[in-house]
Amino acid sequence: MSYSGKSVKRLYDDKFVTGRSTYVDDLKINALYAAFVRSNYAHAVIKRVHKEDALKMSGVVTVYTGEELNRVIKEGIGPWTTYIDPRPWKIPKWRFAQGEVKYAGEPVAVVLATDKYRARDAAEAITVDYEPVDAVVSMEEAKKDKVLVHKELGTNYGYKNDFVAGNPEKALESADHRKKVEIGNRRLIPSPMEPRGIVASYDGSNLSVWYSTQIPHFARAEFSRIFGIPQSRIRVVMPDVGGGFGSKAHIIPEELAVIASSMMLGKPVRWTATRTEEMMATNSRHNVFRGEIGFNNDGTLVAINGTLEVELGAYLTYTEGIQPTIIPLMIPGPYRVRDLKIESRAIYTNTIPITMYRGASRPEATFIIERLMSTVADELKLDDVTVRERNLVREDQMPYTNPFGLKYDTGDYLTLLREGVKILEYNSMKEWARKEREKGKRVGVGLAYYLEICGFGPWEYAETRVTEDGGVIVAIGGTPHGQGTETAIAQLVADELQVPIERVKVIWGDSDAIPAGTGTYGSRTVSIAGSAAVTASRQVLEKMRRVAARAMKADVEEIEYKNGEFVHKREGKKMRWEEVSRLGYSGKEPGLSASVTLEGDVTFPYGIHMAIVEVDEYGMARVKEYRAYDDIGRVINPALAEGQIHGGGTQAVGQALYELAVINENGQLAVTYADYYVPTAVESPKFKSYFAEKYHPSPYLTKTKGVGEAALIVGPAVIVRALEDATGGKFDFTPVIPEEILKKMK
Amino acid sequence: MVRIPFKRLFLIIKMYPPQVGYFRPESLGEALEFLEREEAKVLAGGQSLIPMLKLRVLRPKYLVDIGGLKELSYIKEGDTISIGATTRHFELASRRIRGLEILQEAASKVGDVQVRNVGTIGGSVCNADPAADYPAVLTALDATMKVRSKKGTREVKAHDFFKGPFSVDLNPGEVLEEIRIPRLEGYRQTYRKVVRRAGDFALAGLALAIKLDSGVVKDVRIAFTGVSQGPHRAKEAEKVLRDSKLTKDVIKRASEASTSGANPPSDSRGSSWYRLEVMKRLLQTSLEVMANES
Repeated sequence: MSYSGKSVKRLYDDKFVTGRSTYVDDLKINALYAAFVRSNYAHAVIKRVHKEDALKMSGVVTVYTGEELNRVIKEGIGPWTTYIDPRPWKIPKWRFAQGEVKYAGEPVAVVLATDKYRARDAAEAITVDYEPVDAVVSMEEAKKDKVLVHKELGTNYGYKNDFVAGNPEKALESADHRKKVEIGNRRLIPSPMEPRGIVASYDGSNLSVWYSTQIPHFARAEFSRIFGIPQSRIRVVMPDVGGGFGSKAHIIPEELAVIASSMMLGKPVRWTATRTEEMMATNSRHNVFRGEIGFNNDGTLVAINGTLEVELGAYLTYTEGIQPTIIPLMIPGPYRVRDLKIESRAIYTNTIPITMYRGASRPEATFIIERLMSTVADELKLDDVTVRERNLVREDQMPYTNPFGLKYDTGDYLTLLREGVKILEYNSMKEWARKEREKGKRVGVGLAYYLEICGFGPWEYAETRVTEDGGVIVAIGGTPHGQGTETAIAQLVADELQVPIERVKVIWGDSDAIPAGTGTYGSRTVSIAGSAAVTASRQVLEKMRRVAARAMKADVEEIEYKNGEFVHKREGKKMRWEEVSRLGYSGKEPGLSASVTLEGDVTFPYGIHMAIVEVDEYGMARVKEYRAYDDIGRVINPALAEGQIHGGGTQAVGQALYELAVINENGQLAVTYADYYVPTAVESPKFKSYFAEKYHPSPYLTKTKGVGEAALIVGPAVIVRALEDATGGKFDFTPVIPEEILKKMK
Repeated sequence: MVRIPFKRLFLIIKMYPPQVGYFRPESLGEALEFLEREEAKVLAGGQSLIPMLKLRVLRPKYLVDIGGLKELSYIKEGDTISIGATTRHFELASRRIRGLEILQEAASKVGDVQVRNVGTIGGSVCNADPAADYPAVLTALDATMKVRSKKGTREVKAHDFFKGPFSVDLNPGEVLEEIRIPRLEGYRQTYRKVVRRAGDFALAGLALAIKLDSGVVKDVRIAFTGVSQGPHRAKEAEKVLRDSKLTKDVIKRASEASTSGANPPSDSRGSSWYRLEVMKRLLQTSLEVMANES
């Protein structure tokens, strides 16, 4: 019996496809509803908040501003210190706005009312007297440090660090060619189908929070720090979560206000973001790399020297610190270039705070290095494949330590490139596109390579329990929210315990039921939570062998377990799984459960993706096909893995061609879903996804690496390259919008 | 005076929108009666009105829901085609009308399936989004709007009806009852629409009807949507084409002339420059197709 490696159908999908899932907003609880009054100004002093009219309205319980809320919100929102060293950072204190607003959309007051309609009506009845002050809404302006977002910091630079390896100046001088480059991603908005939502209930001693989040345990720790309540008295529950993409791994002031209100009123309080609020809760990307590269006649890239600027928005979110610290490390990618200087800068502006988004720093780094590879190819009139062949780290160099010290674990990058070119039919599709162009069509084919760092440690929790009736409950610290990882983990555990998968239930996302955990992000869950679950299962099985041995009066070494039976090797006696399970709870045994916190490290999947793009006479581009060939280590559930390629690839289409979060000159978000173009099924390409059969395992027990972000990491570079092939233009910023394409077509 | 039966007057629907009264009349007469007396907004399919209420752009005291009135949902064919105001997009999209083929094409390109199932031609027309599909078609075809109020009926030409963005020639108490379009027999007709993404409003759209006789243009109607405050009738381009053959040069000149008088906005769908380019290319491509077919 083996489940791993098979496309087992997702275990818990019935409720989703029949509308019986429970998102935060579906929870029935007798709570007050919160609605927020928001600033229209990007930067202003709050002179006065007029609450009187709102307070007179029926159903309105109270109105709080920062003056009241911040008595309870003791500490500010801070960076994710598990992954971000706060020491080199300049960090403003970020609580509920008090005295001053720093971005348009920032909440200024919260209304608590008996239903959401009254709450919203009352929020409209509140007027705020502002005194607008100079705002700085673009990175270019902010860099001048003339107008400061946070006076107390003395600068708009939140982070400055130079990542240097080798001697890039010298390498540039001795290179055959030098070229100036400017490459970047503009601001976008992650779009989970379920907006953010929270219910907080404080009963005087314990705080319970139902929260649409990817990181319930980290949230518990943060709430503990911020409100000064011990973690043991906080329970964070993640009900069904309708998508995250990294945008549900940070905390915003609205959520702190909900908790603070519940604490002050002693009543449950809830809030679900409207779509407009969701669009203001999380913005992502926006980074620019400017610099120079050096390369030789044979196509080898020998030097990268430049500045990376990453926008922060008005405050440092829990996750945005990752970008300026990890993008530089990953810029060398799978290539041998060793002389680099990346001056990494993170810049505050009076705009909506920015967070990580699917891929978190690896899409940015991959877009930069893949654009550089294509630039070298264009400059030398070499083929994209040839240039990559000449730069890839070779198999005999593995494990390879990159110039910034990252140790690439396993892989054969060159072989995958060559196999991928064949399997994806790159050369024949290129030729087909060329012929189509001769006939007057604008079609193009492009490819790009990626090396991803994922897993991200530092550890994960899992517990396996065998119940009295022989069932198996696996509790994981990972927090699947749409990926279907629970099915893959059930497959792993069913195989490990040699029981039917129907016996295995996977649970997660409740900090009282699962004592510890990190969460689902960074393409890590099958590897790290899966390995922890396998380890815990092994330990439980060991306990069961001991129980069986005692019952059969044998030494534990004499007991062999196979397919649901514990066999006395010498005597041939047998005990069934169910019998041993029951005995485990007879009062004589300590029960059948085992839990582990398993350490883990980073691991490096890689792959080559290809796109076919067609452009019409108006400059409208459509991605017709998207093909992927990846070595993601061992594949536990091919259908789930493919699903990740489809989803990530569709978001890559969005980032490459459609999604642009326009901030106007007043610093206001100027788009709604009417003109913020999340791709629909019509804009989604046809997908072909292949995984390397001769995979390179990670050091994890599962031998898996990760696939959750792959297609969004490399996709934008792939699609832009195909667009260049179709039009003959050159594009270095995402999204590439139709009029930019049309201009290059002329 | 008609009495409004109170059992059908539901005060205060609670949505995310502000509080609003809701009245569902049983006849157009009843609706007109109510509109005469109250500050109300007419609700038909609600595909634009409801989002506007949710965004709190509009805050009428009452909604008068005429969406269910059978007497306003019809397509009558004669020399003139008469279309009731609450006729759904999908009904127009699934009916080919001889001499008015363009209407089917335009209706099939409105929004997405959900919008077409619920939205009405009258609602779309009265909302007068500058990027909506029908206004260009009705302007190109010289349609007539039949407007009703308690005081009586009046008729307005499409050209005069669309006054500007989200603004039409309707006075308080008036309802669009019917749209009348003359049949254009022997015309080649097309409605083309350029969108960033499926289901969206047009970045630019073109309604084109052309009558050819031995390759010579006898009559031509060109109107664009999405490129001005309202539908843009490209009279200059029509002049270039009239009595000419559809040669490469004529098509080129007509395309260039089509932007005369247009004043496209710059917004997140595209810049003014880009819209002008799209207009020219839209007309050029459409005329080339027609030239090749003839």
